[in-house]
Amino acid sequence: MKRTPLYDEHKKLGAKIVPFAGWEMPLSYTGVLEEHRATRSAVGLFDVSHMGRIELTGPAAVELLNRVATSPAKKLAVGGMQYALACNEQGGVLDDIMIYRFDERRYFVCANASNAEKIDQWLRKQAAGLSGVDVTDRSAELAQIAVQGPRSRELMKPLTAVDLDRLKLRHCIETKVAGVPMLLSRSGYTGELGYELYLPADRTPGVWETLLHEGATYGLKPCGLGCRDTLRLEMGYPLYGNDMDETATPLEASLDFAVDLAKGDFIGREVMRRQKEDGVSRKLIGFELLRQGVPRHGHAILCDGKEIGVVTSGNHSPSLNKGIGMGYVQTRFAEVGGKIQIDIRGNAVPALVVERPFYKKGKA
Amino acid sequence: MIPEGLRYHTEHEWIRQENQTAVLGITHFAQDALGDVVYLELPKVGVEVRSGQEIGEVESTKTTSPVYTPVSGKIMAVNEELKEKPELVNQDPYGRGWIVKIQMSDPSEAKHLMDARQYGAYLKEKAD
Repeated sequence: MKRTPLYDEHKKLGAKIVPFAGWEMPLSYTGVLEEHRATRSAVGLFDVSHMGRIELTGPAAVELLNRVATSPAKKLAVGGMQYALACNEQGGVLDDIMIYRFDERRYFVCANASNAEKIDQWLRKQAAGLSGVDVTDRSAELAQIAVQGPRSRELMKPLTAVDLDRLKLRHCIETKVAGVPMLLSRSGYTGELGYELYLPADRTPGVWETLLHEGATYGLKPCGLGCRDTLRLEMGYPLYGNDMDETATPLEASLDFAVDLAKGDFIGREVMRRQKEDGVSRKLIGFELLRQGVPRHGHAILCDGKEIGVVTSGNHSPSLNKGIGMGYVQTRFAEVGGKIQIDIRGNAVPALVVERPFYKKGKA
Repeated sequence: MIPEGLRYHTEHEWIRQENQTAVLGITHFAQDALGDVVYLELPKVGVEVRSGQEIGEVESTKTTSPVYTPVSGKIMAVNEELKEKPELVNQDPYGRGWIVKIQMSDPSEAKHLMDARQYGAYLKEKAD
């Protein structure tokens, strides 16, 4: 089991530690609901150092990204970020990634913890035919902290020289926070205004303590993976390994917005192009329960008693106070407004296909 | 943390015997392991249950966990307050967070359950 540079801080704070994708991570400190609410109303502080951090440098870095990612990497300006899928030749999703460009010839890929090694190897493999790009796995030397919530800007402002009022959503900048040089981005996985900090591993406990200390005035709470999951679910963000994997294409996962078929060739494009023309046979939907109950991963989705799909993520939404979830259904049942049922231990609980995000008050 | 006077089941339910009636809930250990309780699926009043049977489900922000009854009998009452305030299971597991009341058909079944000291030892053994 791997530990992040903040492991001792989590223990000190009395976190419940659980294994996650090969890491010992905090599940919660004071309770999932309390942490969830703190992030929606004040500030949540997250250790997300388990994610993969891979740097691409050199004149061909953009070529490599354009080939590997579904997004138009060539259009990415310095200081910009793009959400993308990395797919295999069959169009199956290897991972969903965030691409950062922080310099003319320096890019950064943030990958899911469970896929960090796979993506590092995939990038190296695809780089083999290109001259002028270096792939460096910086996951161990850097750590990653997320500061999320409506009061995160107030907290961060006095800690950095950057004018945070001018740092736009999905933009990044190299700067210092609390005296430590780092890559700072306005981004996150909660739907709230928030920042992510990529910083040297050995300086991370100090920055974490500063944020905890300074954040107290703003109602900051340390937050674990438990509320990270309920927060992302309320936003309808798919989670790799649950809502998509190598057996699903981005179009099946309803991630069309992240696929640019017009940008030129990329890995998996042919499959996606055909699917765009012919349609997909199944699609990821969001649904809410019309009665009390909690949908869970693996529950069958029904329509008039017949099985039409399966739940891939589900939980109780703390903000909406109802059961919400995502799952794959046969495409003809994917229309918003459609009446379905979730088979919760033999009870067909009525549910409605709804738009995502489920929670619409986020101010990211 | 483990109140005296209650009987404890290996699946982390407790019962409080009041004559022929057993009040049933889940233990502090159980609620702590589950995390924030957000919903309970409870049996209908009047239903007959057998010892060892699953009688409901506790849903937390983390997981779903079955509730077992260690005694047989008839469900006399379910804690209606939990419909609005499931968090009572976390806040007061041995008090306002009770789950059901069962009219026992065989009160001797309760004798086979652990007392507070035995349950404490059982938890310790599980932790080691």
